[in-house]
Amino acid sequence: MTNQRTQFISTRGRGTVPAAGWGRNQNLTAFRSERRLGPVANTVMIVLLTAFLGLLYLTQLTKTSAFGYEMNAIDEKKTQLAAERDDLKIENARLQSIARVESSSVAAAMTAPTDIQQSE
Amino acid sequence: MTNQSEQLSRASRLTLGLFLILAIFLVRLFYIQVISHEEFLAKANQMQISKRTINPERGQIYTKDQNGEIVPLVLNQTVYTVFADPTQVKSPEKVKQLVTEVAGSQVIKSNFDKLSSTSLQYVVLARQITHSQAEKIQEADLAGIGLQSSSRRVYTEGKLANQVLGFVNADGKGQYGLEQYLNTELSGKAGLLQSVTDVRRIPLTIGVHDVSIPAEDGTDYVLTIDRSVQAQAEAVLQEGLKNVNSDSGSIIVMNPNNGHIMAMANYPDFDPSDYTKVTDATAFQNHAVSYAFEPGSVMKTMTTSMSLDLGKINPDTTFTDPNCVQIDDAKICNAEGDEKFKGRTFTMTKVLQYSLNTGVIWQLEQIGGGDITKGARQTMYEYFHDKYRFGQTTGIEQPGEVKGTIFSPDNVQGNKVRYANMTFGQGVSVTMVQMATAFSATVNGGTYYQPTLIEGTLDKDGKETTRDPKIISDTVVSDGASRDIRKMMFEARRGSWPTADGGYYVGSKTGTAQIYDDTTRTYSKDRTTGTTIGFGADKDGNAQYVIMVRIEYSGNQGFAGSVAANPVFTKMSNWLAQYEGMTKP
Repeated sequence: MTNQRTQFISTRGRGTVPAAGWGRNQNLTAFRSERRLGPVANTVMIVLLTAFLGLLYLTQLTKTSAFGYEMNAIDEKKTQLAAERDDLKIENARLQSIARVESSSVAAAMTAPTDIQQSE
Repeated sequence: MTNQSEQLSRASRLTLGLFLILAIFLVRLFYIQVISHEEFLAKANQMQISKRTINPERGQIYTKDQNGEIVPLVLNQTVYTVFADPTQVKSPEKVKQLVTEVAGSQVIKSNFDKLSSTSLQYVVLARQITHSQAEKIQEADLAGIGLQSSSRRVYTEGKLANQVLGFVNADGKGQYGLEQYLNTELSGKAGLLQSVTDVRRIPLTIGVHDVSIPAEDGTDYVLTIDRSVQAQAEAVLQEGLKNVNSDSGSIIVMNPNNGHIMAMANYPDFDPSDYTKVTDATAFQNHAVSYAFEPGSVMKTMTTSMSLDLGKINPDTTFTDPNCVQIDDAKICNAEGDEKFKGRTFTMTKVLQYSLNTGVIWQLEQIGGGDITKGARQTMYEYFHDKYRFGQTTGIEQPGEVKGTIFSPDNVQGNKVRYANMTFGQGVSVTMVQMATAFSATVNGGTYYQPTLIEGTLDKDGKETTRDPKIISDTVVSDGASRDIRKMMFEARRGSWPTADGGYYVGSKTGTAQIYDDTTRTYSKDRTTGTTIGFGADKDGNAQYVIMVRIEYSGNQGFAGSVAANPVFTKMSNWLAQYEGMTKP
């Protein structure tokens, strides 16, 4: 279905300045492949390429969707932690509230001073 | 050949038929995908795309303690409703046991019977359970049980400052107090999450029209209220009311040097976390701003400040008490029992101490050159309305603030008799906050600060941004007049209650006024308003706090101002002088 032929083409001396084309490591030789794809091979290649791209798209899409779940899980965790933080904040505030302090055992054990002297 | 032709013809017909069917499909597809594109796109979006409102967190309210530390007053808590889908519940007994164990008093026991129903799909089993309780229910993983989260307000100091704060109703809307006044700022702005979701409505990140607008949480406020001062004010007010068998009163403590309200309390009150139990809605109202009343003789301090500022009197100016004066067709006398002063000469300081109505009427007459002329009334109106700002709202951050009533001399009611009465606090109505703010201006050197309950706001890192005090006017009275009125009030108080203040520089004035009944359009015969207004100053006589007390009194043991309101003032002042670390002169 394909045929192949190798043709040697020398580009030596094609420079506009002949002397400049003879520089070191400039062995200017090119090989032009004579292999040609037929119409069936082209179609197969296009189909395969399309399938590959489709697969790539689907894997990326799935991966992106998975981020959605990950984000949702993180959001839920964040909400839970915020709720826990709020509960702790409330508990802390209640423990330090005036009513609580007044009814504490420390306050109950206090006695009124009999004499107060102020210094200025 | 014939058979072949027939076969070909059949094949052609088959092909034609297939093409026809294909064509129908194509036309149908064209119709669906091209012509009805928008309609089907909308249907698909409706099924796949979900819009969810992101609720912002309501702003929280803080105050400060004695050390200036920020302490919470109102916080938010996530709470959960436990519900069951009876069609999915496998073991009603297990559910009943678990919910009872975990939720305790929040259980709705009457709904347990519905767990066996096959027609119901939503039965609430418990409300307002906490996060830790919800976790226990979640861990049990019982079929048919679900949790719905919501947020509620938690008042960490219980009833403290209840009318100043207000409450948030079941719809999440602020009612009364700061919750209502600042509802927009506290509420924040809702966000929006629009995205493609899976069958469990979990948002996926693949949609091309996904929208994510984050919610803007409400503003957190720091109040000028001092937690300890507020608690003390509420305690002394309730004790004072109990002592005189009264059921209604208010107290304000404010800093005269910046307009900050340090405490504001009223009775009757309510519990904001249990507001549904209140049967009389007046308990929700902050009467210190929403109730205008005739203040009585406390107004004499304002009249005297005016006369001092105008240079018509000084503390030692004297007048001879006639006990009664005839103004047009009205005879105005001193309070009952003051006949003994008739014919005696008093200084203006003594006028305050003995609370002589005739003395302040005499001051007004001096402004008019010996009579209550229109010019004298106009001058008094300019002081009372324009400088003291009676008859105008103060702008304090509370809903339902009322203006009170003051009649201009141009009004037919602004006659001589009314203005004579106004000098000692009758025929004019003011709110507690108006009176306390105007009084602050007379004792602080003459600067009228807009009264405020808000010191500043907190950012998300807990950093406070404070607001500058708002000066409305700095020429209410002169510095000299301010100094004189402080001295006169200090001496007047010391003259009446020599040992009440433990040596601190405190000045005050009491007042008693009959209560006008709007229904009967007459003054009550057995109910009076007792008021006391005063200041506490440092050793140099500079006012550091102002206290005003109002108590409705039905007793007959003396004037309400002295018997009911003054003891509350004294107790609050003595406590505050020590709390503030005031120095004695």
